[in-house]
Amino acid sequence: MNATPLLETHRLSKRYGDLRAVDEVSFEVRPGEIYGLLGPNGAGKTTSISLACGLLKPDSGKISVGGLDFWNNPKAARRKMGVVPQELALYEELSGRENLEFWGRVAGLSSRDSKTRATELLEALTLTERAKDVVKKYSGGMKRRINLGCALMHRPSLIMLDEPTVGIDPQARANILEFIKKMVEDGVGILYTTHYLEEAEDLCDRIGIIDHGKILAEGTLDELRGQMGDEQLFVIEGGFANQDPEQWPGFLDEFKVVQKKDKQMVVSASQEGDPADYLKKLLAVPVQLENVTLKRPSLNDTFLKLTGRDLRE
Amino acid sequence: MYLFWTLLLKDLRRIARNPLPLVILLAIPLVISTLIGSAFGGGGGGESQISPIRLGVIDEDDSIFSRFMRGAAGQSDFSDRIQLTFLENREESVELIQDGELSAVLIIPKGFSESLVHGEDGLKLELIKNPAEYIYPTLAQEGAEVVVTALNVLVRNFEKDLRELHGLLEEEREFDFFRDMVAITTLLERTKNRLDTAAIYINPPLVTYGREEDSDASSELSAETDPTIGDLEAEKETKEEVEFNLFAYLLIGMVGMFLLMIADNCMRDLYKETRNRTLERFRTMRERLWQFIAVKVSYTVIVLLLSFVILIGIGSLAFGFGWSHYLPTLALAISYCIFGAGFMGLIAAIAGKERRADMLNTMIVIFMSAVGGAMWPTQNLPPFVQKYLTPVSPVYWFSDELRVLQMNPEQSEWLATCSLLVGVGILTIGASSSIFRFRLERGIKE
Repeated sequence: MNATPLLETHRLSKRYGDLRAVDEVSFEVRPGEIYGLLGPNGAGKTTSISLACGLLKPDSGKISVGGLDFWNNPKAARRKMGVVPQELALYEELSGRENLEFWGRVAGLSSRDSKTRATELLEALTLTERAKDVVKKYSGGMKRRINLGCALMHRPSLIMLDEPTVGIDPQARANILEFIKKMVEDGVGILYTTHYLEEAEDLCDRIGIIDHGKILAEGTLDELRGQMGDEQLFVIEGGFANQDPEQWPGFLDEFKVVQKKDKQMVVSASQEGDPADYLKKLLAVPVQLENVTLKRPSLNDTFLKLTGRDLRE
Repeated sequence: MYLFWTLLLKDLRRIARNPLPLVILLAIPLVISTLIGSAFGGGGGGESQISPIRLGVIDEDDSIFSRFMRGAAGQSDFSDRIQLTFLENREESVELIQDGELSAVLIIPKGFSESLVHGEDGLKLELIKNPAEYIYPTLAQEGAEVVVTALNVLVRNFEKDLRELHGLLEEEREFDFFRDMVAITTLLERTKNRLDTAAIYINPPLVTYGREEDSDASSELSAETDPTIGDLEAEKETKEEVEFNLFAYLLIGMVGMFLLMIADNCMRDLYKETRNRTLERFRTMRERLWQFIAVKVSYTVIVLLLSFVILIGIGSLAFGFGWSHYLPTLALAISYCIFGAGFMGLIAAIAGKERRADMLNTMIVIFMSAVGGAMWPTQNLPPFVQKYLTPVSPVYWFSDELRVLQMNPEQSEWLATCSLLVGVGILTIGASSSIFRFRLERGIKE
């Protein structure tokens, strides 16, 4: 794609005292794509999005929105973006419609335009029937949808969604994800942070894996899986608490240990070969095995390989 | 201006949807004024600020002294202060105390006056106090102690005369007009001579107490009224002008205190907006934070003004007093509201955290109100407080000026007070806005 990126961050860094919350993070969001920032809690996703939308000023690095430097043109940049914060940013005393109209006016819409747009969004978010109810009476999923709608009132071309599905039921999550997919069809670019693998796999065109404030890998889902090569992953279950694979004769010549836990180990074959041969070799280790499974590498396995820990930990 | 009105309407709509915190803050000063005002007799009109003490008397003695007491009970000066109820027996007094009809009961035991005039030791008056009350029984007890002291003085100095008088009035014998009148006249003359001798020691008194009328105000007013009505009418008019109303007095202090509490509640909404992430969302859409803060200050001033009108309106209806000098009163209220928004905003901004701001503001408001005479007259405060703290309390500036404006308007300097309040208000609004902006840009962590 040669189109100007809607958002481009270049070596963004932010420190809080001794903590490097974001460490030279670079990525870009193009029109019509969903870029996912995937990482566990505390990885630096929210700080990255806060830097990207101008809520925080970076210690170093550059942010461009639609080709314009953010801090040289903050007003124009803000008009192009709609930000959906991780936590609900709503007035619970006001109705869903009132919240939408209010944020529309704050974003610069006229009173009439904000009314029209609110009606459109209430329809699109299937909230028309509850539009006049105060937000306090909404379910978690409905609040999340209004929270999303408030950022879309001024029809931004770049939308930043910070974990928009946290804490809601699967049905409400599916509705929101469906809505996001439809938005991309209109050419909108989306920066999407999540710690749900399934969401990233299902939704994102490109993914940046972030941990400890650093982007460890970036690419499409296939590209990231490809970082595991054509490796075959074996999950073996047994008692490994007091075991050291280095002591097992010839084991490390055949396998690489991806992860070791007390009752489970994930290993990959060092070279291509017949899986049946590798299974036989695994059954020969000096530990009573309870189960051995062969599987294709997933995004989580890539994360595991890059960080040494599970995304869900 | 479009954004200003959008933000302001949002805040007003929010408080209209959830008015309970404001209603509570409005109800408390009215309730406190009612309770304290009722406890001290309520809205004046008369000279007495306290309603009469309801004192029961069981006269088991039935002597000249108790008959004297019955006579005094009928006099208006006495009955303004003590409402005497003569009872037949102790059972009746217990019932009336239990029903809350009496604050205390004085029992004059049989043979009391007889023993008194004969100078016998161990004389006792009994006082039964109503345990459900505090102030009035204490006043009754102190009154009884004064009576006992006075009786002691009387008996020590006039024992012989009293015995003679008692004999003349109480002894059962045939009435002889000429003989008895001579005896009484001799007795009175002797008493007079003794008092004349003592007079040089007690009269004129070294310390005197008197009440001055404002002659200037009276003369000004009489000049304005119909000259044929005369001075009496003019004096009556003046008295109506300065009539004291305890409810109004208390309410003004309470309004001064609770407007600051409401201001604190409104300005701390900035922290709530931070906690609820709505300020964060605002900052993703708008660059300039000062608009948001300016609207919050305006919102606070509007809510304070509405609260002021509600408080004095309800107070007026509930306690039956009228407000006068509307324009100066309104100017004073607006000035105080500007001050309240700025000052409470400044403390909240300095505090840096919502909980800390809540605690700090409450403590400061209570302190300023206490030394500023919101809850009691400043004359009752310790001299140090009166001299150094009261004059610098803005609650005092407001409540004292409003009291003066309502009761002695010719002495009011409301314009100067308004200027002072607005000046401090603008300074504190500027300072609080800068500090809030500084904090909010860096992100307040709660």
